[in-house]
Amino acid sequence: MFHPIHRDREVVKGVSLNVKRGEIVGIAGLMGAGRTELAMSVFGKSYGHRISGSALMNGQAIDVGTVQKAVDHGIAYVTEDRKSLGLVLNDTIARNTTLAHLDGVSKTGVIDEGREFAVANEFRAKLATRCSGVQQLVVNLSGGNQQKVVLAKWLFSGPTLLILDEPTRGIDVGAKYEIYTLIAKLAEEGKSILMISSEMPELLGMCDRIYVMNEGAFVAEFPVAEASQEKIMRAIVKSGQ
Amino acid sequence: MEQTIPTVHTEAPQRIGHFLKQNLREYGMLMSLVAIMVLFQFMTEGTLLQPLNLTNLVLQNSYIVIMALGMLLVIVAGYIDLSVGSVCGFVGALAAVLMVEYHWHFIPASLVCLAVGAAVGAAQGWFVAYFRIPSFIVTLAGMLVFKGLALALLNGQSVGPFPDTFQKLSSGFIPDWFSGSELRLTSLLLGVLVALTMLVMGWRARGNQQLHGMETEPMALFVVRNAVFAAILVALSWLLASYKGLPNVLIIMFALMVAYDFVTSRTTLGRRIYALGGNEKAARLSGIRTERLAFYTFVNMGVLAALAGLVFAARLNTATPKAGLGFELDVIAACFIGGASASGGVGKVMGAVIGAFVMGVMNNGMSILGIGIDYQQVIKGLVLLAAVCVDVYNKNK
Repeated sequence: MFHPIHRDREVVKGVSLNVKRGEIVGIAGLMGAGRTELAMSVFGKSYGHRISGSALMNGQAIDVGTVQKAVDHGIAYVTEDRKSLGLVLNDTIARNTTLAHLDGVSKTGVIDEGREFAVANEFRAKLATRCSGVQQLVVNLSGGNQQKVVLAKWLFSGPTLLILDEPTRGIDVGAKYEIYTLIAKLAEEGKSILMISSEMPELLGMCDRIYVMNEGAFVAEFPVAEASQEKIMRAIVKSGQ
Repeated sequence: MEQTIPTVHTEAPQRIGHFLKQNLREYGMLMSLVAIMVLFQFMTEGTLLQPLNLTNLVLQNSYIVIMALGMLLVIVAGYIDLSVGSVCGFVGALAAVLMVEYHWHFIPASLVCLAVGAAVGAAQGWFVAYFRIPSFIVTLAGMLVFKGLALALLNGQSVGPFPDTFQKLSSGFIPDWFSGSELRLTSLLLGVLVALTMLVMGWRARGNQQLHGMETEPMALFVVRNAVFAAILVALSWLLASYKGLPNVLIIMFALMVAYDFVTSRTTLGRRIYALGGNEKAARLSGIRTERLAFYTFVNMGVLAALAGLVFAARLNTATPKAGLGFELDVIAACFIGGASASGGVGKVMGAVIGAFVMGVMNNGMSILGIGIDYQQVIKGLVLLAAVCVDVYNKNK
């Protein structure tokens, strides 16, 4: 996969990864290692050009050429940049919650607002989003609660593979803990989770397996029992030499 | 856990105040239109609401309202279309050439004109959506191109008159089946029917909201608002009925208004357009095909501009090279007065319609009062600025 502007620069090369049902897999790496780019190129070719590779789910090759197709195949991507890529800030919690899966609250293109309201409230209760009501504008929420709305949006789309890109960036400790609990619960329910994070303690605490990425390629893979911060850093530094 | 059903215990007047404050924008728009109408009714000593003048008011503003419906979608999607006036004039010229010079029947000619409108919209939409040229620039170019093409089509002269049947589009009235009396009963009954339908629909929507425990309008407000609405509708249709009845173009306009209001507020298509304008990148990452959506909003705008062009040509009964001059500004102003946001994602169809009528009533009222065209423009400009200022002030509060 190549850079969208510097068109000859290869951003991610020769990467192969797998996530099993109910497994939490982490991708560790420094900023700019190409983790987000990798995730977005899988999710409907949202980044880069000349993307090559294949995606398999349950052993079947699937087409993830557009975001809609990726969503239909049960892939969800929770972005690291919720304000500019995740939410329609000037809109209500309810409308943001259903945006990725409008078919779930509509019949032949007509939205059932009552159902939408019920769905938004269900996720609000499930994620303990703190707000005055689901008709509140997302822009007025705190970072942690905004992140919960993004998560609600993607959970409502019914994913089997959830890609979380820096899911706890810029949010307070309480909300972080709630999100960790939620991720663990989702994995227990059998969802596959791919977690990208720059916070190594977070990865070491949450994941079953960790890939280490540097300069667009995977440089190591550890089961969590064998991984440590030193080992991850060593793998990165070594690959740079 | 916070409560889901809001404040049932608070006292009624407080709730009404709270609700009004939250929905100030919608009620405020309507109230300011009513206030302006009352003001001019008073200042013109009753001429404004004379049946004849009211009919004229509808006819004069129909094409602006029709285009404002499309423009609202374009603005909500985060774009702008400066070419609508020129397209309107161009299509009027095309209609004249087809019907007057080539003697086409008005139905195929009108269909061809609408198709040409769609093609114009598609061409501009392609540049905006897929080629990523700012809509301001694309449609500015379109404005020049189609103004020039209209001139070329007409060879710089006025072409007319149109066949009688085509004129009926603008100057005709719906037939009266209970002929004989002074009052056009059909028109009055139609008005009453629409008012009743609105009451029933409002009541059912409210029931549905309550079923799901959503916040609803306080009962008193609901009753008052609907009663006032229905009364105004019946009164207006009575006034129109006592002249020649409901104009054909009013029926077209009303049908379009209802359809576009429904599409924007209740369908997934409308929802996607708002998301596109609100945050294009987030919309794309949520599986919305943003390019295609932007493309079709421009196609839609083209068709409506063509329809407005036909209505305008039929009303003037000639196509002139100057037709449509400056319409785009009235249309865009109507949308912004109606509460649309220039940055996209915000705006309502009913707001744009009310905005168009605010402009229309002011034009009409000031003309009756004999205020010159010079100061009319000054006043209209200031009203536009004031409306947007109130908006921004309310938002920052």
